[in-house]
Amino acid sequence: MPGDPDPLYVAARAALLDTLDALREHHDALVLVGAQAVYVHTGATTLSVAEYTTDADFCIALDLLTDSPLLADCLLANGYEIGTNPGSWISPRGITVDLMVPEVLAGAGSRGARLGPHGNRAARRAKGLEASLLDRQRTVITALEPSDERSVEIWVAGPSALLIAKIHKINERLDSPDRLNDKDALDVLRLLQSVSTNSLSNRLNELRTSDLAGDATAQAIDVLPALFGQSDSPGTRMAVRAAGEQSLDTIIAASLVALVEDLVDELAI
Amino acid sequence: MKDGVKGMQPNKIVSEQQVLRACAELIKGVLPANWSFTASEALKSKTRQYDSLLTLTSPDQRSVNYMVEVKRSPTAKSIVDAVTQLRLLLEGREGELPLLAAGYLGRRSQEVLKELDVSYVDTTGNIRLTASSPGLFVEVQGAQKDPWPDDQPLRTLRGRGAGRAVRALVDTIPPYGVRELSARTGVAAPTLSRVIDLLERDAIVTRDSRGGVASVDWADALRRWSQDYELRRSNTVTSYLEPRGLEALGQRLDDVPWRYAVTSSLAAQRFAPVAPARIAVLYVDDATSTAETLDLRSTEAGANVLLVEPFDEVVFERTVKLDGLIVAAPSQVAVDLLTGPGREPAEGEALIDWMEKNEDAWRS
Repeated sequence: MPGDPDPLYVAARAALLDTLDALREHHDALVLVGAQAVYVHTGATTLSVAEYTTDADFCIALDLLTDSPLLADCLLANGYEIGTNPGSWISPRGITVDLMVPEVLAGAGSRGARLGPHGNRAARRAKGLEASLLDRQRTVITALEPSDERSVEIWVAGPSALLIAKIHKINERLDSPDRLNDKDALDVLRLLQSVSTNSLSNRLNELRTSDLAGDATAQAIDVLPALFGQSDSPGTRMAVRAAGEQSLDTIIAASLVALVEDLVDELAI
Repeated sequence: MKDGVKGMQPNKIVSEQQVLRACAELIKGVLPANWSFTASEALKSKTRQYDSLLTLTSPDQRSVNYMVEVKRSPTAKSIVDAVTQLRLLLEGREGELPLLAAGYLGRRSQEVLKELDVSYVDTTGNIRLTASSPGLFVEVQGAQKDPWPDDQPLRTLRGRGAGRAVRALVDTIPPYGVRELSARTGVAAPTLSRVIDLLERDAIVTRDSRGGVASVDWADALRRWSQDYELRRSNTVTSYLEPRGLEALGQRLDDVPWRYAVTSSLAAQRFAPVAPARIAVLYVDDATSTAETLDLRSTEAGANVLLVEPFDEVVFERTVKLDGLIVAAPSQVAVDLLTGPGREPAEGEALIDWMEKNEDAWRS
C-alpha cells in the first residue's frame, strides 16, 4: 500500500536500533547522519530505495565522548566486527555502521580519526560533517515494525547539515563516479522536496557564519550550481541514475534543478 | 406565388437518382399550362460532369435549358461550391441556366440560391424557377422543416455532447427511456438518441420494443468512446512541474475551495491495483490560476502535473473524495487511461476489471 514503509527501511531501522543499543552509553556523543537521518526527515517517498541506504552512519561529537566504555568494546561485545576501513563496523545482521568525525576535529592522520583512548581505528575522518554538530535535533527513533517496541531519543542531524554533508560527498567523488554514490544525489532531492526552501536557507545562512561549519557550508553552497544547475549537470545525472526509472528521468532532473535554483536564489538574497 | 404542392412522402432519400426523379416530377406539376418538359436521365460520367439536363419548352416552342446539380442533403456551404462548379461548366454554353436539385433545402439554403440567382427544387416541394427568355417565374413553398433531420447518422463520439451522452449511458443502470435518461442526466434527448443509434449499430446498446435502452455493454461503450475521444486532444492540456513531487501536490489539494477532479493513474490507483502514478492529471476550470495557486512551474520537459480544462463539465460529475483527493468518476478515469500513453491503456483495462467486479460502487 502507498504510505507503508519499504521493507528495507524496516530492516535498516531495526539494525540502527541494534547499534544504538550497543552504544547506549555514548548516545550523547552520537549524531545520526546519512541515509537513515535523511529518512527521518523525508519519510517514505515514491522514489525507489536502494539497498545501501541501510547503512547506519554516525558523526561523533568529540567533546561529549567519554573515555569509557571504549566504542570498540561496546561494538565487539555485541557481535560487531571491524570492517576494512577505520570507523567501519559490520553488525551481526550484516549492516554496515560507520562512525565518523568531522575532518577539522579529527586531528592528524589521513583516514582514522584520533580518538585518544578509543584509538585511531574506531572512527574515521570525514569532510563536510561539521554542520551536523550544530544543526541537529533530539529525535525519538522508533522501530517501524509493530512487533518491535524499541524507541530511543538521540541526536539526528538537521536537513541543512545533511544537505551540506551530501554535497561534500558528491563533490569529493566527482572524478571517480560510482553507482554507490549516485544515491547521495537522490538524497539531496529528497531533502529539497521535503523541507521548505525558506527553512533550509535560513539554517544554511546561520551555519555559513559559524566558526565550526562556516567553511564547509560556504563550500557546499558554492558548488551547488555546478552540481545541480542543469539537467545534465553531474549531480543531476547521478540522481537520475539512482532513481533508475526511465519514465521518471526528466521529472527527477527538472525537479532537482528547479529546487536547487530556488535555494540558490533564496541564499543570494 | 402558388399554393404549396405536396412533395414526396417523407421517406428517406437514399440516392441522387431518386432525388432527381422526384424533383423532375415536381417541376412537371408546377409548370404553366402548355409548357412541356424533358429530362436527360444521365448522371455524371467521365465526359459529363453535371447530373442532368432539363429542357422546359414554352407554348411558342422556345426552350429554357437547366443544367442540374443534385445534392442529397446540402448545406449552404456545399451549395455555394456546387453553384461555382455549375457556373464553370456553363461557361460558353449560351442559353443554359444552373439548377440545384436537393433532398431538402433549408431556408438559409434557399436564400443563398436566390442571392446567387440560381433556380432550385427540393423533394418536399420548395421550388423556384426563373428564366428571362422565354420568361418563366415559378415559386412554390414546400416543407419548412427538414423531414429527415437525422439523415446523416452520427459516425463519431468525438464531440462534447457525445461524450456527455456516453457518460450518461455508462453511469446509469438500464432500462430507461431516452427522455427519462435525459431528465436524469441533463443530456439533450436528441443527442442521446444519436449516440444510442451509433452504439446500437455497433451492438453495444440494445433497445426494448418501445425504443428505450434495454442494456448497455458499458465496458465496450468506454472502449468505443476511446476510439474517438482522447484525453490529450479532446481537452485543453497544459504541462507543469511540481518539483516536490505528487505527495506534496496531494497535500496542497486538500480542502482547496475550487473544484477539481483527478483522473488517470493517480485516480485509478485509488480503485485498482496499478503502479504508483508518475504524473498527476487534474481537471480544473482554469489551468493558469490553478497553477499559480498550487505554485506549479510551467515546463515542457519533465512535467509531472497536467492541468486539463475539460471538454465538458461532465468530468466533474459523480466525483468522489478518496484519501484526501477528489477523484473523477471511474468511467471518466477509464476512458482517459485508455487514450493515454505508455502503460496507461493497460491500466485502463485493469480499472475496467475493477469496475466489473464493483459495479455497485460506481453505477446507479
